[in-house]
Amino acid sequence: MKWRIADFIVIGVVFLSALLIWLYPALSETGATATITQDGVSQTVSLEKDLEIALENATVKIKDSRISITDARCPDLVCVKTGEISREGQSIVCVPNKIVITVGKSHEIDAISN
Amino acid sequence: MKKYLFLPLLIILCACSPHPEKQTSFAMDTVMDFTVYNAEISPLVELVNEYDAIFSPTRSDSELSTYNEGNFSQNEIFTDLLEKAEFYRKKTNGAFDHTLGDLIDLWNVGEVPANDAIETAKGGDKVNLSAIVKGAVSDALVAHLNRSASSSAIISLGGNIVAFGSKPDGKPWIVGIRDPKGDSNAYLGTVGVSDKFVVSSGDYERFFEKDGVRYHHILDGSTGFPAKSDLRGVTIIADNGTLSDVYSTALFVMGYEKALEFWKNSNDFEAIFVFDDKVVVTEGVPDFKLTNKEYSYEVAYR
Repeated sequence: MKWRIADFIVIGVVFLSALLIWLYPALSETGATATITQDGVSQTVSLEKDLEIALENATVKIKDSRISITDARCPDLVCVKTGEISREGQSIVCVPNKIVITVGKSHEIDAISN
Repeated sequence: MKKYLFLPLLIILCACSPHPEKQTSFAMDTVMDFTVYNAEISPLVELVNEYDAIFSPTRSDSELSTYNEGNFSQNEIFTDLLEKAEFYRKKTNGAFDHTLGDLIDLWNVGEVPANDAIETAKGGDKVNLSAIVKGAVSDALVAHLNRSASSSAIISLGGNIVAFGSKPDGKPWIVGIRDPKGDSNAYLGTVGVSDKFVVSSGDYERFFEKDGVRYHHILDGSTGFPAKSDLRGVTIIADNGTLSDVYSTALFVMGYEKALEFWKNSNDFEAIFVFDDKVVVTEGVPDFKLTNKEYSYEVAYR
């Protein structure tokens, strides 16, 4: 039984598809909600509905299950430059305005007992 | 084609991928969050819905409603839980009381009822099992998971946490303990648990305010009013979901002194007592970490 190039291609393809199937949920998973915190006060919003939220000195936009800060009054606009986020665990931070937006639940804990 | 014998192996490897199934459902007037590894979620959701259909106080066709109309029940799930509720009512000296249905209905309106209405409702015996049914269904969920291939799941039944097994990496589940002063995402500390139920009760959950007074949803049968507890919240950690659910309510109603005494005389649960600015953690609470430094914390010993 001789190994031919075609065999290695088959093995390669199988391995690659296995890897893709394995990674797919992590790559494509979108959090259904985001938590927006400004100066310690937080609200949870659904990403399913398009929405614009006016915060103090900043505007948050939800469109097509993605959330972003579209406008902010701060010197460096790091938050605006972060762009849109949608995957669980991603976040946008605006330090001057004390804003943190996190998609999905915090990764430090698995659940909250309340 | 013998050389492709490894293919099934790869398929098995794919099937072992560590991605959980997740689902959110609404039942019992609250949100249920399921994260389950290596087992189907739908039977779990169905189980919760089954209990909801039996024990719903608002559905006129529930077993509970039928029972409250004076009909005898032959539903085993119902009669079992009714029996357990009676057992716990005696055991907690009425701090947990499933016969406060009339009072609960009265306060549910969202206004302070008239005194004579409260007196009348106190005399009522309408059954409401809402303070025990999530515990009962969480035990049923674990029984189901024990028969499945899963060794890892975390489920939140409106904040009642079922930490089944451990995380897929073998580490304990990290469960946040609600900060009564923060929003519903805020936690003051965490515990690390495997195969435990973590259930909390507090004055922050369902309440209304009138003239600067907070009227929360945990009623004291002896006064007919929301329990005047010195505690803001109580968390119970135990191997039994029904017990955890009942005791979180009962110990809140008891207040700290009696609750601590109750814990000292028991050996089947641990507790976290949350005051306005302090947390008391019983000695057996697994891996407690205070994350909100506005609180001080101490350990209670038996």
